[in-house]
Amino acid sequence: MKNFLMGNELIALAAYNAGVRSAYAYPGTPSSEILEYFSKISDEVYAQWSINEKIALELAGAEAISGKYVLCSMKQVGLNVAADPFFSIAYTGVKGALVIASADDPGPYSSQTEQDSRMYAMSAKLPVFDPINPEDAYFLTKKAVDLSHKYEIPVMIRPVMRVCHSRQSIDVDIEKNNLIISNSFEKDTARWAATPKFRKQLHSILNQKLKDISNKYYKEFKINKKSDFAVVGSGYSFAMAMDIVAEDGLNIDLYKLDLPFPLSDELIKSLLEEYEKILVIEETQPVIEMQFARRDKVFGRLNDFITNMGELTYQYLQSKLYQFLGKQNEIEEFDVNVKSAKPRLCPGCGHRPAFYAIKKVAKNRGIFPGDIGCYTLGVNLEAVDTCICMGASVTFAEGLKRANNDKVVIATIGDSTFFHTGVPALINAVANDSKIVLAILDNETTAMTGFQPVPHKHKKISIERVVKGCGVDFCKTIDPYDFDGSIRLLNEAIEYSEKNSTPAVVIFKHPCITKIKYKGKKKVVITDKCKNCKICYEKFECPAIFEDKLANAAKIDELLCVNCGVCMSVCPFDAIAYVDEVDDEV
Amino acid sequence: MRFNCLICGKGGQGVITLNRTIGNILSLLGYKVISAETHGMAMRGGSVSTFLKCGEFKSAGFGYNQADYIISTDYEEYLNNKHYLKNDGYNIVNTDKNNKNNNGVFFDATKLSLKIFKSPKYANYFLLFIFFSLLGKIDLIDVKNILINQKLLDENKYTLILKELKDVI
Repeated sequence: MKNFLMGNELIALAAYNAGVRSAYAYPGTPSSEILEYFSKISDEVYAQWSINEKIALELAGAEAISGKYVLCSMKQVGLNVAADPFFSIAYTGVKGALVIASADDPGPYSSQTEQDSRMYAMSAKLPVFDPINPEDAYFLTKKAVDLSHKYEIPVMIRPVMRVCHSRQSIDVDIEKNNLIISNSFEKDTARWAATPKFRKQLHSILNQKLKDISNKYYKEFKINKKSDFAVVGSGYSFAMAMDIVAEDGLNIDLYKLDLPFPLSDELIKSLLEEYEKILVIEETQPVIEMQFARRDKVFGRLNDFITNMGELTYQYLQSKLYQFLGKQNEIEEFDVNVKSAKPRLCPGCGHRPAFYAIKKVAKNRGIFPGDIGCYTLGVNLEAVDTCICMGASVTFAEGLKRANNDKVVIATIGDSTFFHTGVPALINAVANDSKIVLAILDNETTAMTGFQPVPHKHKKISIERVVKGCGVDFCKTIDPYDFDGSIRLLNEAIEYSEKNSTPAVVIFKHPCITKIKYKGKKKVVITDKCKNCKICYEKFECPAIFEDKLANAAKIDELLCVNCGVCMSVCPFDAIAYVDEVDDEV
Repeated sequence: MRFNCLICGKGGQGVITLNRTIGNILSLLGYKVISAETHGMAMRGGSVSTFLKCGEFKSAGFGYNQADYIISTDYEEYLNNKHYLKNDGYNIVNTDKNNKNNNGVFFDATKLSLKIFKSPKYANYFLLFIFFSLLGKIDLIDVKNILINQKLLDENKYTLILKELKDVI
């Protein structure tokens, strides 16, 4: 085995090997590595981190109707943002090929919902593949590209997080292919710019495509009956079911359905005729199960046999498979006592003093709408009260201020998220005289998802000019390491906003600590003035400071500390100080 | 060769890299491996656990009491995951506490790394070499050669690590 590759890497590689040369995406866990890997496959590819998913999908669609083979990747909540073009382009179809990789997050591990992208595919009437593991993702992505080209239809591949972020031994290579891809847009108004009258015709063509695809795809599917019990399904949870059936020697026939939508009516009918009982295993919504419309035989989420939320674990599936067979589950019960460590902002992160300053100026009358990114962790510092979806901090600030006029509303948003969907929200707040303060936390990268580039990186665009262009007159920038200056500036912004009935913007600019490898020259220590008031390690929650219970004082973990010294500004007893020069090597 | 392994720790301690390195080495030596990681929030100091299975498997998942090995870069995270370990499984845990039990190696890899290399960043190589020596079947020289090929280690560092490990195992 030559390679040990991640599901996301294999999706990118398969797309390339099937002829895809352009890809568009907005970063989001667990999908980000797809575009990252694609961009590095060869010099002949075009890969773009777009401003948001709607823009990414529209760009991909425009190339695909010109005959190009294109990949567009996003996470499941990104598909919400891209839903508008997603539904429409299903009707127009494409000329080359368009594969949309939408990564789901059952659990959820790093998302605001557990939604199932396959539901979108079904709703938009687009075929969707659901790979069980990285190797399967490779082969199904190739099939998706071929299917898309053959039927001139966008095709979705929906990996769950466990497929995206699993790695598997596999023998694959970068393949050169001799595909001749036409590369020009042919005008056809009835198709590409359809008025409602033509749209109905396009809908009818789409329906026919789906019928052809389901019949063709499942034509060779063999039913091989050895047991009265069958388990059907797709995705990673089905891979675990396959492992459990093999490991435990269970008498169950397994049917992996690569393409959960559209399923073939013939296939469903034969399975229902052959088997006494059928269990459907899939995540996270009953897409396959709904197509098996027989409540008497079919077990799954619709009859509450399988839970309707959360990730399906090996442990859980094992007990359900035994229960399905009517067998005693001989697995020991465990008393599991897990104290998981919560994620925190890194030592030296510029967001920490910014949040601490925001909380301090608002005193007890602050409401803090937050947004999506590393800085959602402002909840730990009690400086984030709401987190809904990308860009919603700005709109929530406007709404919260209207409903709570006596409160000070300070919203926080990251640089990448501001460009993603914050800009229209800010224009709306200006147009509607909203008395809010917006703090843009600019660390010059999309940090949480793995440091993808941001639009203002190459100075072609600046946040200040965009903010001013939105109609905001008060826009000032400060380094949050200047803690006292930050407090003064926030107070100034609050006053300006209230007095002039308009939003005020403060840009907290400090590069991401993990990118600049910051190491202060002087060492930070806690002196014997420390009263163990807990502020530095609990309220300011720097991960590099902990409580030394024996000494009844705070103590610095030298391996974690970057010697930024920001904690000195928040210590009420002046008990933190710089000492001697430190060795650069450490 | 068939085994289940859980690798855990806190975000930033190199858990995902350790999982990838072990999987890579086994794949290059001709074994079939599948592993599962968690990214995102976890990398900001939160709990991280990864699953790795070697053999003919479709998924990387396994249940409680089914791991042959637990490798942990952190003592608290070992406690959070020890219910996955088989009764006769092995623990390999980096800890500054003096924890001992019958089926495992508990030692301060960070301290060893600081002592020899004046940096904590080689700590996980101590865990890796202990894992491969417990696993048997694989020659540590092969492991070393792969790591040198991938420019992760050099001959000198390997010799120093192995020398220290003689006292641990």
